[in-house]
Amino acid sequence: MTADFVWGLVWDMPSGEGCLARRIEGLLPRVGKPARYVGGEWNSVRKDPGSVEVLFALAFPEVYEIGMSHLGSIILYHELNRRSDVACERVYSPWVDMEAEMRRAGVPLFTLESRLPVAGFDIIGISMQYEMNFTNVLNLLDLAGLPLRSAERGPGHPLVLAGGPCAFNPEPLADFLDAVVVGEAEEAIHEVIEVYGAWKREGTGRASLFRALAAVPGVYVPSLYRVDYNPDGTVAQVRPSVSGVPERVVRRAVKDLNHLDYPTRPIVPHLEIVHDRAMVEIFRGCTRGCRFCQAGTIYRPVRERSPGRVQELARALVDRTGHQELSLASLSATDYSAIEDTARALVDEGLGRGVGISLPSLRIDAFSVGLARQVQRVRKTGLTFAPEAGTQRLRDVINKGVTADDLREAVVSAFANGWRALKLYFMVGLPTEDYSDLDGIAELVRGVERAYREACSGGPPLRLLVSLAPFVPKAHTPFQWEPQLALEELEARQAYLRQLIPRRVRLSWHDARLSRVEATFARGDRRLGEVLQGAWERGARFDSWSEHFSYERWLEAYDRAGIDPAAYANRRRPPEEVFPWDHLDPGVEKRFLWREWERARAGVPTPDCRLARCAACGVCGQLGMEPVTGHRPPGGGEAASSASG
Amino acid sequence: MRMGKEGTARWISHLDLVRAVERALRRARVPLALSQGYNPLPKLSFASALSLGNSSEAEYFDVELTQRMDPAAFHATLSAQMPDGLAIRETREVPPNGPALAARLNLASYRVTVCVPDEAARDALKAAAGRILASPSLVIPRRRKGKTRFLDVRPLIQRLEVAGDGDTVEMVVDLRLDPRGTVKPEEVAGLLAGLASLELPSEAVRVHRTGLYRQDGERLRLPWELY
Ligand code: SF4
Repeated sequence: MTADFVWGLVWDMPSGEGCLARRIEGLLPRVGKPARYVGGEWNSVRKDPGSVEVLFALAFPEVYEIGMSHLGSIILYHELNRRSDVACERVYSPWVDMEAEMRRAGVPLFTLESRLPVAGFDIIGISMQYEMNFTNVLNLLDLAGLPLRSAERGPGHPLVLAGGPCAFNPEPLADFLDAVVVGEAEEAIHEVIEVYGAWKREGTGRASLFRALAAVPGVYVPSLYRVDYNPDGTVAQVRPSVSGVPERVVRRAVKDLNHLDYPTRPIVPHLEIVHDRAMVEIFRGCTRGCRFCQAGTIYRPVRERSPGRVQELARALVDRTGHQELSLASLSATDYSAIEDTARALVDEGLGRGVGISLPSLRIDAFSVGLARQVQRVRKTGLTFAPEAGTQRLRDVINKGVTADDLREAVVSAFANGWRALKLYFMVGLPTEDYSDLDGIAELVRGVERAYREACSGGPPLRLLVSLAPFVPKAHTPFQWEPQLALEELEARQAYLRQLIPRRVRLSWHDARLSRVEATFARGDRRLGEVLQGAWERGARFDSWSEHFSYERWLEAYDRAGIDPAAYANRRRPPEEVFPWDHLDPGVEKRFLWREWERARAGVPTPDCRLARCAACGVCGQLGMEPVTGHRPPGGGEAASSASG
Repeated sequence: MRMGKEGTARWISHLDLVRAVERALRRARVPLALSQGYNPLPKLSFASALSLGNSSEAEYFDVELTQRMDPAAFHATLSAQMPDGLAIRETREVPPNGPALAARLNLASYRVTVCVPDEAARDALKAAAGRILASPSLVIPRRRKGKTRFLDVRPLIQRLEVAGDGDTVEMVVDLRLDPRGTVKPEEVAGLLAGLASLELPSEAVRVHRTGLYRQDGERLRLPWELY
């Protein structure tokens, strides 16, 4: 019995569904979690593809359970589908079993809503969340049956658009992408659609589309820029290769979240996903100023959603999804100025209906723990704290405004309030780190254990997880000039910690080799495109999953492309060096980042501009914005305004 | 409630199906009775899980409410909140505190459609059905937790009718639900194929549940006729 015979079957397929839909059905019994690939979820939007001008495939280069948890994609799906001229359909990376079946059967990448081939769409919008998903981006294009490189695509091919945090240095993907939205896309995407629609009606060539897109503020068209290199291999300059294209692409940012539409009908997934809950974004941006953190640059300034609006959205979300849990999403939930009143109001409202509230990102202090206690009914999941470094000296270097006392108070409060499980996150290999800082990590861990013994002597053993992640310097951070520690040294420090931390503590190790590949791409340039393609051709995909990651594959790919990864990952860059991402402007000045790096070396913290005065990072002036927060800076700083309910 | 499970919803696992119904109930904002504890869940009880990929017009579950609602109103309210492929087919009011659905039902009916390459294969399947019905026992190995035990599934197969023309075979299969061990309709199809020396890929077999019953001797009752 041949496979073709089986595909010939017409099961209860609604009329109008093509032969592709039937072929997909034939693959489902053979793969794990087939519900990943069927669509039809509650609140998913299915339009008649023939009734719209622009078909948009929103692609997430990870598996369904991760992609469906991503708030940015939920927002874009909503923004696009509320337009009558667009149908936006989803696509996620098929897991390896499904990919094998698709390739075997010749089934191309398809969207979940209409089960249409992605290659037939007008635009593919790819979310770039993480460098280690880059091979999945190539794989999606290949599974769709598209030429990988922008230059090889032509009339009849979709526009390959990308966005997300990696848009702030998309250079390793520059040859593969047609256009990149730099910054927050919920407003820019409408301008992109307008430009695309007009171009489609005109019927002119692809080059004119690229030129028109490059004129949209915040849209970067890599092929319209050329990169010159110095004899030593560093970048000399990146500049437009044609006139009328901006020299710098300034990031898009929303001035005030309160005026935004919000997806109160997000899709309710068919299977359990990573963040299986309704999400209200309570604020965007974080100005705590951790010096390793890219999010701390690219989402500035802080913009809070008003408490009244948060509650209104929360209610609508719970009504329309039926989720049992509502999460207050942000980079640091307890930094929301009205967190206490808002959380309490939501708890009071939710209890009768069995809806719980979760605070996914907690600051390290007793206040946060107290709040978590009031709000979160389920304590078995444990609390997570990220002190990041083991000594006060190093925490001052990285500007992590947390003291050992804060941590002690937080854990004492957690244990007193019934928590028996705790996760601690640290980074290894931070700039200026030496072995005494590692001793500091072990000391903090012992302190936590001691606090537990004092609080709960005779109780169940503490379940303590310590996660150790190698430091990866990222573009647009004060540490962008810093090398990553050599692989051998990173591994030596991990090993040192392993023998220092008691065996009863569970240690979670990030593979240092994976972090090294990440460090290469995080500050990579266009020449890494060849490495990326080489690794993908050798089978690299789902590289963030340790079971699919192969360092040897990457080493071969570097070798073949004649690229030395150390020049990207392990080199200290001089202050005057031009970076491959300098033309992509987050609004925060490079000068400010350098100043922060100098303060880091001097061990001088920089306070949060929400609570102290403006640190002059430059973003508010350059983007015409200001922080939107209910916090009142001492002395009534002029940079802050208040958002009232 | 009697619910269908069709179309893309066939690919939702039983656990996820329970959660989908819980969410629909919350969206419907009906006066749900909730379980106690940190994580209050609607008091729901399902009759019998269906294998992934199988469709059904007979998924039964009980929902407990804190106050009485008119069944027609409840039916309409919940129906408006059900995802594609999970239509509520029938709603009946039953007295509270009845025994668990699952414990009271002992018979499941299925329609199994098999695509075969040719008429010879079809006839071989028909002949195999005859052989199964004629044999007094049919012992198959069952692996569970690394141990293999043997189960006689013949007494569980109460009815097995094979019909069809062209390249499809339609089977009507009634299987007993026995707490000591059950057999799945796709397993029965597999046994038939084995006896007929046919290789059946999983996508060539479609299983549809048509009913769940309580059978006592000659008497056949639907779940809500038990109260
Ligand atoms: S410009 Fe000043 S107020 Fe605005 S984000 Fe930067 S430091 Fe904060």
